[in-house]
Amino acid sequence: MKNFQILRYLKKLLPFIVIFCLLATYAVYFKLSASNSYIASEVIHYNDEQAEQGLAPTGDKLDVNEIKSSAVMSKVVDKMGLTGIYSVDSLISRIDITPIEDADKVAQKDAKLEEGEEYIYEPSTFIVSFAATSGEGPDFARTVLDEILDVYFEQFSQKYVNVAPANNTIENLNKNDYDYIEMMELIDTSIDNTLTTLYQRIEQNNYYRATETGVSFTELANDFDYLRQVNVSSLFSKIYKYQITKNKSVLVSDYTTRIDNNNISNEKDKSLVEDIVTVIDAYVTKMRESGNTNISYEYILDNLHERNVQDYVGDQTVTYDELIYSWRDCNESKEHAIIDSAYCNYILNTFTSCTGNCGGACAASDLTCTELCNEQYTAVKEEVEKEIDALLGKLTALYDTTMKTNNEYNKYLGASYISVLSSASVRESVNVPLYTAIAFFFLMILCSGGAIVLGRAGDIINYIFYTDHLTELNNRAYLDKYLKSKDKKLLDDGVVYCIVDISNLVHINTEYSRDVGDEIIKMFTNYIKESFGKSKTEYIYNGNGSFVMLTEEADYITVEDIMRLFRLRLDEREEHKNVVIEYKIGISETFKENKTARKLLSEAIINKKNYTSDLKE
Amino acid sequence: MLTDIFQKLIFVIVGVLFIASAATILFRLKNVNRAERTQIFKTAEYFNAWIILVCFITTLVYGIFNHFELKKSVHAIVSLNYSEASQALNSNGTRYNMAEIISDEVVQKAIEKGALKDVTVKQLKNCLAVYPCVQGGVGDESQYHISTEFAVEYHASGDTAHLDSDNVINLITSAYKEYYIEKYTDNFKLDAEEPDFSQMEYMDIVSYFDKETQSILNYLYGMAEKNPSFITENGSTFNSIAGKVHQFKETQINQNLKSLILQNGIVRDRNEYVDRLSYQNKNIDFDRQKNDASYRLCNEAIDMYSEEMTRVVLVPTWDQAGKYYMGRTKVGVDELSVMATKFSNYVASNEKEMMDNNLILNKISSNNSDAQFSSFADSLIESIYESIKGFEKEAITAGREYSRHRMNQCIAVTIYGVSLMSELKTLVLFAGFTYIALVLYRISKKFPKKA
Repeated sequence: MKNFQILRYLKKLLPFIVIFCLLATYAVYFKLSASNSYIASEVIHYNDEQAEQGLAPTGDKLDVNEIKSSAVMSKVVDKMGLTGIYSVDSLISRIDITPIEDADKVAQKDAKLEEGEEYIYEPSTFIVSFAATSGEGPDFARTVLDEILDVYFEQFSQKYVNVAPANNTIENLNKNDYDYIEMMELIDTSIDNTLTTLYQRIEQNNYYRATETGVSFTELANDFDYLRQVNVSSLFSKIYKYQITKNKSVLVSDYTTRIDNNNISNEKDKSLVEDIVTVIDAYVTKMRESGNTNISYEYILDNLHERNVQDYVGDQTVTYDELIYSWRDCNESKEHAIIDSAYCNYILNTFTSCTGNCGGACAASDLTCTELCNEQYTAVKEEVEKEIDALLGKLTALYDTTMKTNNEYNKYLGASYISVLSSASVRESVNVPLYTAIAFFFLMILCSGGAIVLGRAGDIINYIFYTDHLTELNNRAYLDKYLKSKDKKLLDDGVVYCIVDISNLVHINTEYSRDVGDEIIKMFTNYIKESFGKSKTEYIYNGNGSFVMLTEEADYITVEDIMRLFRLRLDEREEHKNVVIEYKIGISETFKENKTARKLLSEAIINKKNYTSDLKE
Repeated sequence: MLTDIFQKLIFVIVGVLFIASAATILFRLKNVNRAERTQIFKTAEYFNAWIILVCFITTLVYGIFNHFELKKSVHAIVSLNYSEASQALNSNGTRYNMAEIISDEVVQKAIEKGALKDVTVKQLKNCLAVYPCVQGGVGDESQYHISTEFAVEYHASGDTAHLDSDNVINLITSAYKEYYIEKYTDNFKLDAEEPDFSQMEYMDIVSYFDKETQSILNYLYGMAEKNPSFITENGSTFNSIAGKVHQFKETQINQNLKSLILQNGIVRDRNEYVDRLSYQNKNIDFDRQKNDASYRLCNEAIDMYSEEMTRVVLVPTWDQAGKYYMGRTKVGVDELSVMATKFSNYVASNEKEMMDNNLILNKISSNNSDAQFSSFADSLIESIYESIKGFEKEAITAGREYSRHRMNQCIAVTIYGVSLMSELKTLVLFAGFTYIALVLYRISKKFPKKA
């Protein structure tokens, strides 16, 4: 059997291995690239100290998963113009939020818990990631993440910091069928509520100024207040003076009902106040009897309190305080209802009073006195309508500015309550070049190993089935296979078949023994191989002392010369000189008619010539 | 597009020639023995005039296409120079978003600025990309990084091939600078249009002026809080300008104008104004009644608070500085007292408003508005308005000067085209590669097909 030579096995299949590996590697690269994703990540930190207790600035539970809420994502989709291209859910599923725990705080928590003490610690730093597919690219991942956090920061502030609303509740008020006085009351209430909210903002941050609108909350409050003082009061006074109404009857009914409701509410509050007073008395009596009121001014707690009591902002209301507050609130509600009834009576008087110009006709009429007898009424009414429209226009514009200022303030607060520790960075989920290189080397190793195994297996099969074990040349089965494989093919030019037969082998076996015969065969094998040298020849031992040499890229004369050399070598041999060897040599070359293997072989057999090597003399 | 194809085609041809020649040599190596092989390589003409000429022409053609191709791409670096940038914030304290550099608004602005023709926002935006020059990681704290420099890349497409790349990137960065300054830097706006004072009641004009000067003061105090020691080129500080405005407000508006109007009962529509003030008084009185009721109820609640329940406990504790002190538990009386004071203040405020209104009503009813005073008031109003506008301008100028100083122009932009050196480097490398390919081709011809 042939020696185990790795290079020989590889050399044969190397081009195929390289081509296959390159193609397979490209396939791997393509697959990895297609399934690769870009992950944009940003590190955020909640600055509020309550965040480490898992609480938002309002004291509500801090839920970081709000980052991937549909409320945030739908705004992102809208802002980026992705509506109809991406569903909100599909984008939400790509967001990942990973908490980063502070090792010191965790250790502290564990130690406290081991000692049986309560210790609350929740991570306040998080990695927020968004994954984009390879087709979408790294820019998409970074942009979406940026937008998500932009929207979230704003919503966080809106929900947990800057909670008081300053919304425009009077837009298109003039399109509804409100009476003038009702419209003005609604406008006044809306301005009042907005001013309350704006004063809260001013208290939080007096000098905050939105860069987009260029105004501060103080300026907005001043503008609202100015409109209220000038325009609103002017309209109220006109409506009162000229008794301007859309329907006197409805207006009178409305305010009468309001008075009735106030009366009912007063009765209810009165009863509640009495009950609360009873409870307060009973409570104090019980506390006195149980000795809980025997505390002198010298009483000092034994234990040292760890927390700064004055800084403690939790609810300190005790039950007794709550009872007192309830008493006060119920009474206040009662008193305010009485004042409101007085206001309603004032309105009723204003709109039902007679100026004297109508001669008392207005009392029985559905129209006010001014409407009945003042010629200017219609003109004033139109003027009031126009002024209300103009006021609403100014207020709407002011509310728009307020909303813009407030939105920017929300963004500002969001960014001050949540800081960015590391801005958006994008990485690939798979290192494509690295894994492609690994795949290439792995495939090369695998294919080379396969080539070696196949090559060696081929050697073994050849040795078992297609090798003559005496001469180590290919055997008859190989020749049969060869001829079969060439059956349907034409041979190239330059193919020369050569047959060498030992004619008297049977005689040599009989006279000198079979061993001598075998040695002669081996000797022939060696001389033939020597003679053909490096030519492109396949050697076959066909059995019974017959050798077939199939030479390519040669010609008849060359092979004839080789055979001449062979004969000379045989005649100069040093071994078995006493044995007379008779042999035949037949040579055939491909030419026009001799193009098939079988025909060429037959030609070689026909062309056989006899030779004798007798060295006895 | 065509230049791109030609440039790549030339490179592919030279590459194929190189590979084919190298493969030919490798396949034919066995046809010659070692001595012959050495001989072929030794006798090869490495400095052949034809090779040099072909190489030169190929490189020249490649260089021309390469130059046109490179001209399509250009990039700029946008650096954020203000202090808040290191916290990933805009200069107004909101979160910084890099994507805004190539947002629709910026691209639209760039198109308008450059009067770019035959290109839409979408088409131009598709040619732009923005990314941080240095990006950190999230693995551990040492990798954290806040990017303050961003690269904007422009690569022309078929739709934008007619545009000059340098001009486009210039327009984009300049539009972004404008957009940023407009949106994120200190801004102050007052009413742009002069109100029609002839239609306004005189006391309302006083309120209007009061409101406007208060806005200027608010702006100046806000700026002074940011940097009280900042001195403008004129040698003013925000506080000094605010002082001037405040003084003006007190003397010109609250004393001169208001006093003139009040003491002489100057009014445009006496009846209407009297009605308005009367209404206001009525309305304020309802509020006063409510506040008074609340105040009274707070006091009653304090009265009815049982003496036994008002006792407090002293709590020994320490503050954040580690110093001991005696804390005290709070009771409802404390809270009610605070509320009572608050309502008392409201009542006082309501009463003052009503007294002010009554004073005006008295003055109006006791004086007959003289046309001479009205005319004097009108001229004073015009003069005050001009002065307020002057203060507004001064405040805005000082604010802008401060912004420039603080933010070092907030954004710096550097544009990088293709440098001559890098183009030459590419050409030298290409020429070398072509020369090797041609020499190899010539050598491969010397190897026999058969042994």
